[in-house]
Amino acid sequence: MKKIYMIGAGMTRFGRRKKETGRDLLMEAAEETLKSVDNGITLHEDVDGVWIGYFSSGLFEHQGHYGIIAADWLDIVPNPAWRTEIACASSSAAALTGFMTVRSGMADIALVGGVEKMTSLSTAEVTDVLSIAADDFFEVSAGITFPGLFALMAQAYFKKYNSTWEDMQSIPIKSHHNGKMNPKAQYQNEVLDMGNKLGKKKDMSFDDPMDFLKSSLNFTVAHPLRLFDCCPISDGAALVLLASEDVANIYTDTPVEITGVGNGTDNLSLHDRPEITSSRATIHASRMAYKMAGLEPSDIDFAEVHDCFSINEAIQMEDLGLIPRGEGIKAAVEERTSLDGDIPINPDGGLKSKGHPVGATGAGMLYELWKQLRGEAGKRQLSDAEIGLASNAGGSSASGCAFIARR
Amino acid sequence: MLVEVPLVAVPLLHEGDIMEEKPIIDDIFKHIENGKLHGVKCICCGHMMFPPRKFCSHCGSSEVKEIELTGKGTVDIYTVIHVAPPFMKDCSPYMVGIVELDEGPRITGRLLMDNEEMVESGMRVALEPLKKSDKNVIAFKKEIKQ
Repeated sequence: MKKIYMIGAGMTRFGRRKKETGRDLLMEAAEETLKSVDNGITLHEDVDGVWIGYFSSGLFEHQGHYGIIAADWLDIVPNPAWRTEIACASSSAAALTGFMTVRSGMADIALVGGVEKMTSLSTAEVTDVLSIAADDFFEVSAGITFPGLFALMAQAYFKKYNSTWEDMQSIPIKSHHNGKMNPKAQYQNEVLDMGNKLGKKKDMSFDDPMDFLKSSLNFTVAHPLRLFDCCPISDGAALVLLASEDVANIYTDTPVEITGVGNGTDNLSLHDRPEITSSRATIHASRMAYKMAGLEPSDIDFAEVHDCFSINEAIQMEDLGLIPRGEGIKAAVEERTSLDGDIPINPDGGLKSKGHPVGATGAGMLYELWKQLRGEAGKRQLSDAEIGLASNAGGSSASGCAFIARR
Repeated sequence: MLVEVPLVAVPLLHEGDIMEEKPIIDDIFKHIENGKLHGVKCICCGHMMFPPRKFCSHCGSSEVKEIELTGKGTVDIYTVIHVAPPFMKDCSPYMVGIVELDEGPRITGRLLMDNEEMVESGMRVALEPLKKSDKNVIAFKKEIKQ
């Protein structure tokens, strides 16, 4: 089987990008992708196909057909291009499609990634649009929201493992600390700094992040989850160039090999699953990836995981086999998942601090693997990072994708 | 010419069982409007399901039969939604939970108690017809023992 390498990657800053359309964001990510190829690349001559993931651009900005927009505006026409969609893991599906196409020999180089422009709608409208990733008839019509579904997971998790909301706050506190060192993160501030900034308007000040997190400013979204347990609404795009072993060395001397990939599913509705505090999609995707890479969870040096809500960082770490069952929150409290811990999680700030333009998130995770494994992650660079894992979830983790990369 | 029929295990069926039309999603909500919850039972393995699936979610058989469920069950977990989508704004905050029906299936529904203090895990509930923006909604109220 042919080896597959990342030979370039680019990502916009995530956040509220008021003026830019999704197309502008894709082109911005493409510019960095082009520059990131060490020996240069000519997109319109060298790229054999384009796969772009996005979840709901039709509702967010009345534009579809983004695969073709990318092929057209990057002058890759008439080569193949199409959209991939598995909710918040849509760009991981694009990366999987590119990986399979190159591995099959149908292409030497694939451009993969994703885009989402979300801030054009209000928070209530975004909540409504995202809810279509759940079961519209048997979950959403009862008034459940995505924060609500993850709140149910948190309730079940707290009950099962006797852990608390207070302990879980170690997760967003760590995410914001990492995000402070990521120039592309939506929020580049510690939780305490953000709390004091928000408090200023209300004449409130805090000495400790927990004082802010327990205050009325950090309001409840869906009990027990409060505002800082939820990732923000974001705009952004990210792209990755995948190449076969036959051509990768033409473009770079320091490629990053993707040694394992996987995808999996669970029941669409949370209530139908055998376990509320675990996703069979994440487990299946990661076991496929470990098997393909010939690795065990203990071989992973760091991981990008889908912390759309703080509880899911704990659940993901456990499903991936990086932390024993029921110890995900404890691992964050003990700082095992911090930049200098034994298994750093989300060095880029995660979805919580970096942002979550849903269709771009999976490619954004691959971008962080690329940066860390090439030693280009700046202030947040991990020492001795050789093997990284990315785990991207769709919906309430009804779908999942995993990638293992090594330098 | 004689055609040899391979011998396969065929479960015994009552005449007409699988000839009935299987319900579509619209039928389910029409029943809910009348305060009734219809599911299906797998003829092969006995597994009970709500909503009525076309294939058994336990053994994969397509031989399922529509049945009426009691609509009664127990609250497993619940949440209180404070940030609501546009169609639910006027109700916020409101409660939604996962209810385990007495027949086995688990189901997400609105919990129509006046406030959060009146809901707890393990409490008994019963289906209550509810309409929201002309749509039938799966909802439960506290079970009244007769």
